[in-house]
Amino acid sequence: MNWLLVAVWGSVVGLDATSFPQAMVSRPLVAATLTGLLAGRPLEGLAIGAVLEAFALVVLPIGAARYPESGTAAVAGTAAYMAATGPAPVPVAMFLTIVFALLWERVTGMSVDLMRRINVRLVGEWTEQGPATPGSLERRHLGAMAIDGVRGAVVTLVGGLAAAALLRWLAPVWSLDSASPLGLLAVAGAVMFGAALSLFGGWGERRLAFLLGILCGSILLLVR
Amino acid sequence: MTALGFRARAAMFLRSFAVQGSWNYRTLIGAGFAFALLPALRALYGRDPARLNDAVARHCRLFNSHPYLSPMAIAAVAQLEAEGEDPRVVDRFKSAVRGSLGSLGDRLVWAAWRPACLLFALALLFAGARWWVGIVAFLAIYNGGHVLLRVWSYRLGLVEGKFIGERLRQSPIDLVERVLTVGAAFLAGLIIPMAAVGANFRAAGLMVDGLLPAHWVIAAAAGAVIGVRFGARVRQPTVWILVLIAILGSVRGGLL
Amino acid sequence: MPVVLFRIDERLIHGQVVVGWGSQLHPDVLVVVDDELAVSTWEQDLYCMGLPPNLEIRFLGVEEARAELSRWRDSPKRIFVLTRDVQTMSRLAEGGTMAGEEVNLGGIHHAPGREQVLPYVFLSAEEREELGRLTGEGVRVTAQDLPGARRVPMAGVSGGSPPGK
Repeated sequence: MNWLLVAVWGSVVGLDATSFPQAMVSRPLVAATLTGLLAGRPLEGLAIGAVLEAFALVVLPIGAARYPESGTAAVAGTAAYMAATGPAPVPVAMFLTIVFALLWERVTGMSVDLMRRINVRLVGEWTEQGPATPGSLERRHLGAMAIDGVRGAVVTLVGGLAAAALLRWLAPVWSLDSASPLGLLAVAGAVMFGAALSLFGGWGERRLAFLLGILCGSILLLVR
Repeated sequence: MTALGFRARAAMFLRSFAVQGSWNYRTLIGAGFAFALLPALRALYGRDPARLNDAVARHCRLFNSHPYLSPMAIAAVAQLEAEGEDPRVVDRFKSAVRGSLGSLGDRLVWAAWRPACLLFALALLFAGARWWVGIVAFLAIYNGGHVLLRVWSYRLGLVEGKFIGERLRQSPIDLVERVLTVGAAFLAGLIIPMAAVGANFRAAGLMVDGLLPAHWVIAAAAGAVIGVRFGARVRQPTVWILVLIAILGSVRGGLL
Repeated sequence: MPVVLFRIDERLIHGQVVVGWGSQLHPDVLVVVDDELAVSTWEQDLYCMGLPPNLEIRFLGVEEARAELSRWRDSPKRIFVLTRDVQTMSRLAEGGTMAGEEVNLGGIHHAPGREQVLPYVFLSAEEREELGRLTGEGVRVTAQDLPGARRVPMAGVSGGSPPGK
């Protein structure tokens, strides 16, 4: 794994989520798949990203509340998976990667919270003190974005290196007789896709469309 | 339609992509709003530094909006400034839109358009599309809507100025929201059977023998029912259960 | 049906009001009391942009609202009253028209001259006095931004010292 490239990609993903330009390359599905592509293994990145995306769907950035930042955590986790395994896929490592990313996104979310507090000093209180000049406004605004970019790179790199060490240590020894790591992930994914219905009006308002979807999905499976 | 030249209008539109760059708990996107408006302020007051500084200071104050609808507010305020509107009226305009542009965008984009596009891409991928087809389809469709919304809202702001509310009330927002959420609910249903048999893992070459064993498929179906029943509240408990299993498996594997 | 909530919120109609309180109290009518807004249709249109389709909205001046206040208590509809500042609510309550009622303080943002009382409440000296006047009319004032949040009584605020944090 080229960690310099991972840091740059983490920076782009961190910026995209809020600062610039919200094109949603920061969605775990995209971020993890493209991280896999960096290692030449986009399919495994996609498998990680799809599960993380299921968990990210139900988190809405509404209000000023603190929320997890899933994009940089997905990059960190996927990069670690790519560094610690290969060339063949390792289901146990994939399971542990996803669990790590779901924890790390809380840390990356805290880094966003911290940055927004720093921005209170950098632009919030400063603009109230006036007199603001156009040049100083631009410098401070772009400065805040630069901080965000560095933040994204740092949380991705730190998380990725830590996760890679953890995976190398735990993946070879992990075992539970009755549990298949992929089975567990399929169940977790199904729980979260079911929970996503609550975004669109829930069972009460949207059960017809939802049940029709399940029917079509089942038919599609049988046909293929 | 406006006293502002093409360059100022184009620069404001491009800067609106960075409107959330200095998001903070005190003034929210206030500084970002002024940053995006600056090309217009420079064009209008550039020869008079005192007036320019005064205008910058006025527009740095608290503001909020959904980022994709912020071009509407930026354009409308630029238009009001160009018409020489009383600063008090401009302030009242900004207070009036900062709540509604936020909640409108939350409803239409964060809670409808974005999850609908993601579910569509996931459905494509789970049904067997190549990885890049799913990713490119998501980015192209989602951002097609994203950029269109920005362009539409920017033009609306330039043309209507402070009267955007009247025009917006006539647009079929409730219908759009309904169509998107019905479609998204259908897609959520569509991918559950495929996720339950592990279609995404099969595609990644993780399962040589095709499908997950039947007991996992049944467990996933039960999981989907739990998800539907409890909604977004299941997220944290699900994460903690996975963490617990990860720890148990590590201990059991002879770690401790 | 009585008025389901009297609320002071500088932002007037926004997510916390429409989604947060709206989903708990199920109001039928939102009454915004504001002299300037009552005569400005372009501003009314702007505030209505984020409104869900099934909520009726009215914009009234303070005098009109005072005249209708007693009728609202007998109305079959559930009414949610909003003002953007303490002064307006205090004028609405003048002469004991709202004695025994409770007023919810939802959000007043930072501005020059205002001091922080709660994370979402900043008050100037004049606003503290107005709050005292409101309490003097027999109205209880509590701060609470969202239905699930902690309720903070504002009785001590008018005296000058902020409540314990």
